[in-house]
Amino acid sequence: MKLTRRDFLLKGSAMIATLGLGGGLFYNHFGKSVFTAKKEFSADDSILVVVQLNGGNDGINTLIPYGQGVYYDERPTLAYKQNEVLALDHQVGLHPSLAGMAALYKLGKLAIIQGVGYPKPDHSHFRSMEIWQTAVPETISHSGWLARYVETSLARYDNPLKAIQIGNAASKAFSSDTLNFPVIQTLESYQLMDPKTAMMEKNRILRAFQDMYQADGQLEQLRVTSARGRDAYQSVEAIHALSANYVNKIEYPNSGFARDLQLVSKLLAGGAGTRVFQVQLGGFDDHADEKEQHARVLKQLDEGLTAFYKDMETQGIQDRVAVMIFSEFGRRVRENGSGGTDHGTAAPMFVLGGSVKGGLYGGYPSLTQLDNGDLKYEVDFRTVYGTLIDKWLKGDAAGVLGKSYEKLTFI
Amino acid sequence: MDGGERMAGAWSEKEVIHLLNRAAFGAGSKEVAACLVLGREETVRRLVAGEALVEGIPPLQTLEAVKADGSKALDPAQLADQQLYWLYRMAYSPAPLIEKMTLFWHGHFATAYYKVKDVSLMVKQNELFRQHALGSFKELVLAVGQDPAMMIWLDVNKNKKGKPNENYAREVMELFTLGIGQYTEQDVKEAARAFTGWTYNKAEGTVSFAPKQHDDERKTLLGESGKLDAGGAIDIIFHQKALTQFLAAKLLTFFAVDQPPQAWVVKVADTIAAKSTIGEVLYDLMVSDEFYDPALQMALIKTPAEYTAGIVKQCQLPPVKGYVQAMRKMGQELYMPPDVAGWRGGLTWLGTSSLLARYQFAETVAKQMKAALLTSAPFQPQNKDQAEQWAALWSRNLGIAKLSSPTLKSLSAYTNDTIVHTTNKNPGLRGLLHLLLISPEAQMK
Repeated sequence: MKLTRRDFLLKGSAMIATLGLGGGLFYNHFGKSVFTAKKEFSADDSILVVVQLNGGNDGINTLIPYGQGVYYDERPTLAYKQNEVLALDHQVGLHPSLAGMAALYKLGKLAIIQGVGYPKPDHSHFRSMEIWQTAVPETISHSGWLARYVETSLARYDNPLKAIQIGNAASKAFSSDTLNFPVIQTLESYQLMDPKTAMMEKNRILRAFQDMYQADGQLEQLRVTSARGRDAYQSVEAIHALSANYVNKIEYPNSGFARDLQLVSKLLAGGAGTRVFQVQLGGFDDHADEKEQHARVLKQLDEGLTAFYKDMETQGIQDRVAVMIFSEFGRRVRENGSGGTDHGTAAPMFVLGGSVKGGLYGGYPSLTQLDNGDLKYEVDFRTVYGTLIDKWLKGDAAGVLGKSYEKLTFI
Repeated sequence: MDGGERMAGAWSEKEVIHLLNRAAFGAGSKEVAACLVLGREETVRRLVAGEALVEGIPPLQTLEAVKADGSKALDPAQLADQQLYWLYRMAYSPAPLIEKMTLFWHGHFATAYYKVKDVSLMVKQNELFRQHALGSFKELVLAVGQDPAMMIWLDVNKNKKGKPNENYAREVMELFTLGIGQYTEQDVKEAARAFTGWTYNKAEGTVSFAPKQHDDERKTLLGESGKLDAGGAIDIIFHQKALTQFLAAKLLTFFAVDQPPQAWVVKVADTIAAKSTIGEVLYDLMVSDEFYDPALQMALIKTPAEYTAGIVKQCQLPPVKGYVQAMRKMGQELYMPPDVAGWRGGLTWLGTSSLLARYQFAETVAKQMKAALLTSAPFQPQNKDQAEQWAALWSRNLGIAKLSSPTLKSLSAYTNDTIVHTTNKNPGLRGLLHLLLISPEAQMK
């Protein structure tokens, strides 16, 4: 069944209401409408797109402290010369690959929060990423910060597409005991059955599928798998109904990252009421031969974001969308012997959007007052999260983060 | 518990299917019959020894002899062809536990082609895992440190005296042997110095030790001091109590149960400490009654490799290049783990996209399976008018020990409509196969 967005909102409202909201609902609840467009979302709601850079982005060669001689002393082969850096002021500038972001900075659309980290930094990729994703540095937590935002601040909405992850892997930021958020690789592959299969056969199989995957009478061992299958079935229906609205006016570069951002744009065009998206970009673990590799992935980042921002402008929603960019840690100040850098600590975060107050926030960490070769952080990442939850998403920041943090002024 | 007392030494079809799902790549009906005769100890002994369970299974063909998609020769220099060949081995090897452990080590010492960029080195590493699959863990760790693919992957090659690169030193302790929290940042720095000096010469394809690049000064690692080299550092790491528990938890999570209880971890850790090979550890585990606890049966999610190889084997499918693509979409591309920590496993296999990829693969297989096999005697129930009999027989043929009541009801209704009461049964037979492969049961092991 192909639905237009209008059909979807009118006829499909009961179906969407059952999506992803726990096991007991399913098609036997079809027809019980708890979904009304008015209550569900408004066209003015703010949207957060989180971009996760995997591997530990070298913050020092991203926001480059070209005004300090010690940068050149510590980075004999990796340093960029003053005339190569895209200067933001007399002290710092962006990596030469970040031309699009530098232009957005000049337009006042890009905020850069310098020296972001957390106490007692962990140098393991997995632990540090988990700390950023759970926003709980002290202990092992099973719940993600974005999941907690949805649980605490969007609980009154029944929309199952409140948060969507794009890419191959689910992030712990969305980990929740009660909710399962869709992870979409591509729209084309987001199908339960081959679109070419004959309609009668397809309907038979899908009906039998729903019967097999019903919650009632399920074996204990199959309970979770069965719920995951129901989620998959229902989100396929919803996503295809919603993404049909997108009109492609912007050319995106040919990279997986750009395609993922374009998918965010397609889903936004459908007006699904999604408030949080996450997209990932990998390849930042530059222990060796960093110069070429880092330039290449930063270029992908820059070109993808630039196209996405243009697309938002074309759709007239650039003021409703903010993009937050982070990585699990930065890297050591001193380069290693392999033309690379080893795992470090604090690094800049970026927030991009039409309503963002661009500029530099926080101070650049000292390159000489180090903690065992590592930068000391200036801003706790939960300050940035808290600012976005409170001032941008209008949610319950203290509820998500366990306490109140100072609010920054980039929003 | 699955009702009733657990019988010590129980060995029925259920236990056999459970063992073959965990220790091999699913159960075919011939194997189940053979194992029932062999008994629990002998079946496990053969699996560990790499001896065939069924008489007269043909030996594996070499890569050069295998044809993909019916006629295409495989090219050993192509990653996709090596991926397909390994999938073929998983499905058809007479020594499936060795392939299973090779896959375990591939996830444990996760090394990915995207950085190594040399197919032959990835295959060489795979052979190393296969050779040591059920052998001594310490010998394997020592060998991995001088494996060219690993040396490229974790920058061992670049770790030199005075210019240490910590990548390998950290991951050896965090991911390969001890686990996070069992060492300090200083230990990472000291271990990196101990590992200096090993180089891989790409042009000549040789690994050698360059004394001039080795830091021969004194180091202190995990509380022990000395002029440590790589072997010395590994010796110290193998003195740590955390090591056996770390490995025990990982083996249990892979073979037995999600989040294994601490008492079981300690028990297996003690076995690891007492025995000299992983094969002996797995033998003890797989003959134990705990391993066959009914609550554990069908309670783990199959990895995409297990799901795919199992279907290839049970449906007797020839190697098809598309299967490798399908596995990538399911979230597991061989020789391409996502990062140094390997595949996360568990529920991450059931993200929406990954699950949809399984469903799509199942549909392809149901359409491609040979009609002759679908209508062959092993797929014909005694009483063809009984829809439940179709469901029961076919699920057994596909290595599913038990159907839940929603699945049994749904399959019976479908079979009634499309097979029992229909003259042209072919679409119904394919539909039944499709449904069984996408059932919740088929995702589990």
